[in-house]
Amino acid sequence: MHTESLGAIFVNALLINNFVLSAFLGICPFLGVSNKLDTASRMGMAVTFVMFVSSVCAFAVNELLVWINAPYLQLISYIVIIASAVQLVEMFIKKFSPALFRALGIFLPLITTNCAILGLALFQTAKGYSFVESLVYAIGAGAGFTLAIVLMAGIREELELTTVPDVIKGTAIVLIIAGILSMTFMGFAGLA
Amino acid sequence: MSKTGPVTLDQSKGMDEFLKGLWNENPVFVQVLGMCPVLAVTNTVTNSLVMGVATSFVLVMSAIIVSATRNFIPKQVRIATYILFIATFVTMADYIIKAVSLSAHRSLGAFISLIVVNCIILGRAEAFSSRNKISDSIMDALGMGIGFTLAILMLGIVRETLGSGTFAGFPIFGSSFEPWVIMVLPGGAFFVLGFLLLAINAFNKRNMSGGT
Amino acid sequence: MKDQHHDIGKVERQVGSEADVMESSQSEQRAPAQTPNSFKMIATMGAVGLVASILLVLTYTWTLPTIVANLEAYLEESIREVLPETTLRTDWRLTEEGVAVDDGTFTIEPRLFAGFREDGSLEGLAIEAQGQGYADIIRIIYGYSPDCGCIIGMKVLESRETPGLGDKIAKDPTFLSNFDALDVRFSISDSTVEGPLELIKRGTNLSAWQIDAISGATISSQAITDILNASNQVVLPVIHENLDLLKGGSDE
Repeated sequence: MHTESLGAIFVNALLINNFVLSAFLGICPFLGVSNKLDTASRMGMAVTFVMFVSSVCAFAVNELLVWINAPYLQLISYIVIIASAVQLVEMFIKKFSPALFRALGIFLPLITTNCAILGLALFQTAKGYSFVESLVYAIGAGAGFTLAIVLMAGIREELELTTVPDVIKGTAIVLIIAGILSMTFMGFAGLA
Repeated sequence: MSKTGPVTLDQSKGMDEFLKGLWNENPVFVQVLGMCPVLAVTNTVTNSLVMGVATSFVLVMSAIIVSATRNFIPKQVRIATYILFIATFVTMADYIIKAVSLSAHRSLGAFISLIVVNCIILGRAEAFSSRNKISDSIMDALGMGIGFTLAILMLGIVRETLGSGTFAGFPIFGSSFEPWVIMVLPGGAFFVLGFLLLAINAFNKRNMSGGT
Repeated sequence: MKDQHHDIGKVERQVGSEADVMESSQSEQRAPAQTPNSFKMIATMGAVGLVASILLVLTYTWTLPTIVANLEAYLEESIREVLPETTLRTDWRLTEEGVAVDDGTFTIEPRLFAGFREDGSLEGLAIEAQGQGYADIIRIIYGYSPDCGCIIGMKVLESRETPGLGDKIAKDPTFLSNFDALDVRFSISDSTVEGPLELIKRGTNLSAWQIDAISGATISSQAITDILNASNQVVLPVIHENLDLLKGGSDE
């Protein structure tokens, strides 16, 4: 039983409890794919789409599992759903935009191991969201991930133009920047 | 795989596989894999420990079963079956943790289940256990698991002592200690890991330029 | 030293090869002409699925009694915290008509626990409630005494509030002391709550129905206030209407 409005759910996932910067989901692609602005935005869009599809299927499967009283199958079924959703999105993109498919390359199948997607499915079940609430949550989460990764990509592209000390190059500086971003996002607490 | 260099006994090769996970190929600091739980559950020492143990459990069990079945599983369905196995062990770990300690389960929340998408596990299964015999695979998995646990414990210790002034729940500073709350917040997690990596880079650089 | 150089290179190649493997296993076009025996693939997946299911069912049934016992122990301990003098309790749940005995089956309705002292008198009712906090849902249980018309204790069961700030609602003794004798302003004649509990910032004059917020954790403190208000609106009239039934003592 919640009192959360749909708008609140969306803003929550996007800003207040940003999926990447507060909930620590999707860190691997966030660190790995955020060096170029357009790959980052494409990754964000692909992830949002996969989240949307997975959210719907996860909701349906959970209803089924509750009905047959087999909660221990939840994790396995969610993984299967996500892997299938990624396959689906892959075929879809390949058919309708081969250029995008080539640009995303290996990252597309790697979305399967993106904890943000599984995290989304698990969280929406744990929170007991209804169908519509889950959809809004998924879109908010995808948007939040895209926002975080695009922000990071923009910053990293600027970093390319400056001199960075050797010791801090690579993952170290990305993490420290992420920390600063995370702190700034905490400012959104007032929206709650 | 052919053996190169001086003749090594099986045990010493096993030890190599074990040791590499601790430092040279440490999954957190060198391979930078499995980041999500590293940042999320290291806010207390206890959480880090439980997560480390759970991950090691899944690593070792998956290593055993992947290695044992490596000659029977057709190439095309390999990844799918590995994921199925890993998901099974993660679910088992989830229920076991819930039975042993409700509070630990509640603190870790969904991140226990998220072990299944921890790239370390699938990575080791694919890169090592599927091509080596069981005993070596177990050593590899144990090394990676312990390396992972040590790494996140390091993070957990820093974050909890500075962020809450406690160690595994026991207050260690006096009551006048004003904790750096940022440490237990998401930002702190990023910072601590970033600075740890920085320190390790600096350490490596010094070694490399100091040596040959 | 050189060794570390090699190892880093090896790691990069290893990660690269992992990516390659994933890629090749996902895209069928790239597979060489040898088509595998479909039967073998299906049989393998089936066997793996079977083994996985068996392991899971075993683990589930093996751990279920312990988990249920743990949950029950936690509930018992929580009720003890908000109703300290209780030695015996009876379990109830809200229904459309009023209250019914709680048989332990799953329900989304809030549960009530009537706590009786040694001498058989009703100390109060422990009421479950939940609502949205800052980060996630907060679940609480609170003790209500019909005799004094006030809340006598509150415990946070589950919360994901910000560590160091919001999570003080569970631990801060000053905040928790708000709930030792909190007047809920329930009018028995009208069978409604006359006015809500109010959250005030530190320093201002405290009336019996006001809660002093934790500085720096206003949102979480407000969440607790809102949860209590919402619950009181619904549950307290039902309690007073069914007071005799609830006092009736244990059954079974």
